[in-house]
Amino acid sequence: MLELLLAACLQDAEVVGTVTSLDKPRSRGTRRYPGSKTGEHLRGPAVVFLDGVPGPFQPSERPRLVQKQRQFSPLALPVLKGTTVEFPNEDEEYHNVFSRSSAKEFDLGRYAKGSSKTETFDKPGLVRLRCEVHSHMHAVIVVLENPYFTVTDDKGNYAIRKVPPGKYRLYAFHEDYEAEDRKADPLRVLGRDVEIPKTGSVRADFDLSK
Amino acid sequence: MTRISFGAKILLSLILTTAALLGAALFALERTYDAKVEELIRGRIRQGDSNFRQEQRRMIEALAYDGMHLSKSQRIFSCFEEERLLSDAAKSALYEVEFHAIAADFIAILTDDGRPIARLIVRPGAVHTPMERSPLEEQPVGSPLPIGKRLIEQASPEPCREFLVDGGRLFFCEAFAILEREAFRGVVVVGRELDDRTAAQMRELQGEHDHAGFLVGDRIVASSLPADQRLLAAAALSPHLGSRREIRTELSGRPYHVVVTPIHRPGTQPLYTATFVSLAELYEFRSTMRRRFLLLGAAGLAISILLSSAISRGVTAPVRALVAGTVRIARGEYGHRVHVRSRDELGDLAMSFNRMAHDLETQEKVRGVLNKVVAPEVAEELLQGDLGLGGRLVKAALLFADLRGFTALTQNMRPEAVVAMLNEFMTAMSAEIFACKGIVDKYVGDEIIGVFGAPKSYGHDAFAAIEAAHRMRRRLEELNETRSGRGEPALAMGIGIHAGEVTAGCMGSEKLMSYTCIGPAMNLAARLCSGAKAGQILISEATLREAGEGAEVRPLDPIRVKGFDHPIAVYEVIEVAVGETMRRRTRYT
Repeated sequence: MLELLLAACLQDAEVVGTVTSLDKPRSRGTRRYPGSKTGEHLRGPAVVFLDGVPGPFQPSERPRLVQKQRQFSPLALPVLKGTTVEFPNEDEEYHNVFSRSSAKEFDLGRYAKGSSKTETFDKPGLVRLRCEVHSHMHAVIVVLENPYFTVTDDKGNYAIRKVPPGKYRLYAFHEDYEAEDRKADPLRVLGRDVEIPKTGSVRADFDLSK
Repeated sequence: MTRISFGAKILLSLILTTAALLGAALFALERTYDAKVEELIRGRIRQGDSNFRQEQRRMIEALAYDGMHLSKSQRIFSCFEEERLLSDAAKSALYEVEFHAIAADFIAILTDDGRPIARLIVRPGAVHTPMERSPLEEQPVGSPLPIGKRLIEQASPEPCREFLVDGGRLFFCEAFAILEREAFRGVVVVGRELDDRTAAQMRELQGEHDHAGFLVGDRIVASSLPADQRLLAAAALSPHLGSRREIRTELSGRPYHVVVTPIHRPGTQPLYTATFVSLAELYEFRSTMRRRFLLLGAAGLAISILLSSAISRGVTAPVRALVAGTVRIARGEYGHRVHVRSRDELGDLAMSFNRMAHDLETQEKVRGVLNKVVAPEVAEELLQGDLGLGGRLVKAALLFADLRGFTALTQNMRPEAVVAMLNEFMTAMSAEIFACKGIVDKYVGDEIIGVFGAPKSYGHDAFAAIEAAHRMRRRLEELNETRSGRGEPALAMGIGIHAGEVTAGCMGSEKLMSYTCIGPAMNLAARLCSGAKAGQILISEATLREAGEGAEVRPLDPIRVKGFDHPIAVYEVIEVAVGETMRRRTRYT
C-alpha cells in the first residue's frame, strides 16, 4: 500500500519480484545424469530484464568481470549492447577466458595476475564465459538491447526501477535453467507479459524449478 | 622244457629284476615329470590370465586420466552450447590431447542422446612413450556406439567399459559422462588399442618362449607371434572357438599348449584372448632326461650284469662242484672231496657232502676189508644184517684144493718167499672160484676150501664146482709157466669135490665169528682132495649126479670115508667146457 503511494509520488514505475529456486533450477527433460557430483559449484543470480522498451540507449558503464579465487565475479553480468567489459586477473595463477557463444566468440588467451583484457559486446544475446584452465569456472554475460535489467540479490529479490510505462515482456534468466526445447532462445525461456503504468510498482515472481 | 643252467637262472633273474626296476623308475620319473609339466603349464596359463587382467587394469588407469580430462574440458563443453558447434568437438578433443598429453588411441564424442560427433583413431603401430606419441587422426563420425548408449541408459553411475572393434582393430574403451555442473551434455569414449605391442608386453611377463594373442572372430588381430605363425595359429584355433578351451598344436614345428578364452562383451563379434604356452623347452628337457636316464640305466644294467655274473659264479661254482662230486661218488670215487670255502649254506652243504663221501669211503673200505676177509656174498649178507650166529642146513658143492709136496718145496725157502708164493697161488685159485660164483670158506696153509651154494646159490652148484676146479687146474698151468720164467719151481695141486648137505653159517662168538661149513660132506670132500694126485680132480658120485651131463669123467675105485656107511664112488674129471656153468645159469633165468 505504502509502496503504491510512494510509487505514485515518484514519476516512474518499477518492476519488482522474487526469483525462487535459484539453487535448483530446472534442467532439461528428465535426463539428469544419475548421481552426478561435479563438486561444489557456485550458482549465480538470475538476470531479470525487460524486452521491448524502446531506445536508443548508449552504454555508460565499463563493468569488470574479475577472475579471483578461481571464480568469475560476478557470475552473471547483464550489459547493454555495445558495452566494453574488462576482465582483470586478480588471481595468482593464469586464467584463459574464452567463449564460443554466437553473441560473442572470443578468446583472451592466457594472462597473468595484474593483467586485464577487454572485450566489447555489440551483439545482443547470451555469452557463456569459460576458463580453459579451470573446468569449473563459469559466468555469463547477457547482452541486452535496453538497460532495463538487473540481477537478483542473495535472497532472490530484484527491482527494475524507472521503467517507462508500456507493455513489455519480462524475462528471468539463469545459466543453469534449461528449456525443454534445445533450439529455444535460452535467455527467453521464462517470461511473462507485463504492463507498466505511469507510476507504481509491478510485481512479478519467477520460480526456476518450473 | 629246455634246460637252463642254475647259473644262467641266477643271472637272468638278477638282470630281469634290474631291468624291471629301471623300467619302473623311468616310468615313475616320467610320470612325475609329466605331472610337474602339467603344473608348470597350469602356472603359465594362470600367468597369462593374470597378465591380461593386469593389462586391463593398466589400461583402466590410463583411461581414467584421459577420460577425466576430456570429460571436464571447457572447450568440449562449449561444443555442446549450440548445434553449429558440435562439429568442433574433434578439434577441441585434439587440443586437449595436446594440452594434457593424453595418450588415448581412440576418442569418440557423442551427444547426450548417443549421436556421434567426433571420432579420432591413432595411426596403426602407435607408440606410447611420454616423449613420443603417434598422432590421432580424425575419422568420419561413424555410427552410434553401443557403449555410449549403455552409459546414457544406465540407472546408476557404474564404470562403463567395453572391448570395441573398429576398422578391424581392437580397443579397450571406457565411456565417461560429460557433465557441466550437473547437466549431462554428452559422452566421451576413450580407448587403448590392443595391438601387437600390447601382446608383446603381456608376453614379456611370461615364459620367454610363450606368446599372447587376441582374436576377433577367427582372425588374430594382435599377437606376439612371428608373422609366419599367425595364419597357422588362426587356422589351428578356429575350430575350437566357443567357450574357454585348451588345445595342443604345432606352429612352424614348435609345440604349444594354447588356451583360448572368450572375452565377455555385448555385441556381435566374439572376442578371445589366447595364451600360447611353449612346450618345446619342456619336451626337450624331457627327452634329455630320458636319454640321460637310459644311459645311466644301461651303465647300471651293465654293472648289474657284471655283478650278477660274479655273484652267480660265486654260487654256481660250488653247485657245479657239488654236482660233479655226486657224479664221481656215483661212479664209486669215494675219495673225492668238494672244496667250498664260503661261509654260507653252500659251504654247509659241501661240508655235509664231504662227510657223506667220507662215510661212504669208510663204508667202502670196511666192505673192502670185509670182502677180503669173507666172501663178498657173505659180506653182503653180513652187511644186510641177515647173519648172526647160527647155521642152516644147505645143499652145497664143496671144493678142497691143496698143493702136493708143499713141505718139501718150501723147506729151504725164506718165510717171505713162501708167503709170496702162497699169496700168488691163492689169488689165482680164488679168482677161479669167484668166477663161478663160489665163496672161499677158508685158507688153511696151502689148502683152499671153496663152497658153491652157500650162503647164496646161483644154481648148478655141483657143475659150477667142477668147472671151477677145471679152471683152477688150467690156471695153475699158466702160473707155472710164469714161475718157470722166473726160475721158480712149478706147483702141483690136487682137488676134491663133493656135493652134499652141510651146515653153513657164522660160527664162533658174537664178537669174532667166521662163516664156515661143517658136516660129513666136508670130510668127504677133504678125503677126495687128499686122494687126488698132482693135477687130478676127483669128484664123488653125488657130485656127478648133481652136475648131470657136461663133464668128461673117468671112474676110479671107490673109497671108504669115516662117517659114511658105504663106500663112495669116485670119478676123475678129464674135461669140462669153460663157461658152461654160466650158460646153464642164464638159460634158466
